[in-house]
Amino acid sequence: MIPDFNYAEYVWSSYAIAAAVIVWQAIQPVQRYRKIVGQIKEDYLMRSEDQI
Amino acid sequence: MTPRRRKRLTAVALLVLGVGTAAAITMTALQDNMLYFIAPSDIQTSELPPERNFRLGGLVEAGSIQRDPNSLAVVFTVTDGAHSVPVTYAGILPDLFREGQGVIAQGRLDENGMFQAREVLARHDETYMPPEVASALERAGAPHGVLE
Amino acid sequence: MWTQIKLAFHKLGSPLIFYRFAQTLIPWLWGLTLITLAAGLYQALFVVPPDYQQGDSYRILYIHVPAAWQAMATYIVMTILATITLIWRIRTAEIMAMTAAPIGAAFTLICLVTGAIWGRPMWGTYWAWDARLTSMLVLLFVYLGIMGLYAAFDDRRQGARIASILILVGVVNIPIIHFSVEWWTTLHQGSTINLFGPSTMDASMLPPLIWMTVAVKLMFGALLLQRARNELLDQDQRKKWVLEALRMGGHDS
Repeated sequence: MIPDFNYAEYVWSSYAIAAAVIVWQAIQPVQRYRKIVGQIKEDYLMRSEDQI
Repeated sequence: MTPRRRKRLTAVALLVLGVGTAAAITMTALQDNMLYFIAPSDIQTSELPPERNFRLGGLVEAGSIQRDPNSLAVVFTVTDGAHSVPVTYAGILPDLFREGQGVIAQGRLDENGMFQAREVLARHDETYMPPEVASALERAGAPHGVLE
Repeated sequence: MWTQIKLAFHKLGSPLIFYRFAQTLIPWLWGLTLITLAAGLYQALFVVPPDYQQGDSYRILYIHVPAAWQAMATYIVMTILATITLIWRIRTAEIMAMTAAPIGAAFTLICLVTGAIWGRPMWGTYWAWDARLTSMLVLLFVYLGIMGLYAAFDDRRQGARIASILILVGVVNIPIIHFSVEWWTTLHQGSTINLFGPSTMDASMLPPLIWMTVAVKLMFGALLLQRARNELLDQDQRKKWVLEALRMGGHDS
């Protein structure tokens, strides 16, 4: 079957809005994870330097 | 389960039960206001003041749609099977508006028993099928698009 | 069997075991999400036939309905976790109850927005204050309220307990959303898919709905574990298990 793209604009826009919300939901925790792990590593390195 | 946890469990159960009861009582008291529309059969029993605006819901009776060729004015009948009410409206109708379709009209009844609608919304039924299936059903004489 | 369940329950209560469990599961959940999502989207957009009344507009349903189900399912999961929080005070349950709220809010938002976009051409209006739409909007505000209440406390554990009480209060809205289309007259149509009775959707249109629903459930699992893992790390930044989990214990990194 040949895909038919001739759906009304609002069909595509509702898929697009849902995709945007999902992408935002997916990116947010990854960024926060990187930030927290970065903080922990920095803090750990600083503390181990203090011990030396 | 420790006695302390049992106590907390009782508190949780009582909280949910209490909130549930309060909600049930509130909704029973507000029953009439929770309804989005009323059916033609319920107009007499719902004790509406004659001049009050309300929403009328039902099916567009087959063969009842009369359009004015020179304007957007349209007259049709809304029915719930037992009773029906004539409706007059001037404006743009939603895509799904057609004979046999569920509609909700907002407006008021005039002295002649004609419902003067200010807004007409289509009410979609919960049936989904491909056009071929629909026409096959129609040929077999099965009704669809029934408003609950 | 029962002792094994109890043991697993207690094991997952340990932050390190929970962290490792989440780290293992997250990539798998995302992988399966992408596969099922691709299958669902392909079928929803290119395979299933148009509807006899709505034409192609009904394809919005394949996002709207799984999102709506997940918005409610998330709340039920949160209610279970809130109950565990209040009775057993298990910290990982507290954290999962709290981190599920923004995910539930996101799915509620998707449900409301796609519904409004569909409503304009089909009903003739974006919004109506009927029982179904209003109770779904209330759900969004309940989610936001839980997030706000949790954030308002400096003591995270105290915040989680107070917000858990709000979760239990708000659960009354879930049966209201589900039964609103039966108890009252609404602009929103009744349920198409019925677990206990015939569904009013032609069988040829069902597969994408099933794929999308499974995809959304898997995605919820992945998102919840990611957020819960983050919250645990954030709260325990200087704890020993964190260094062990990030492989920094004792050695130079």
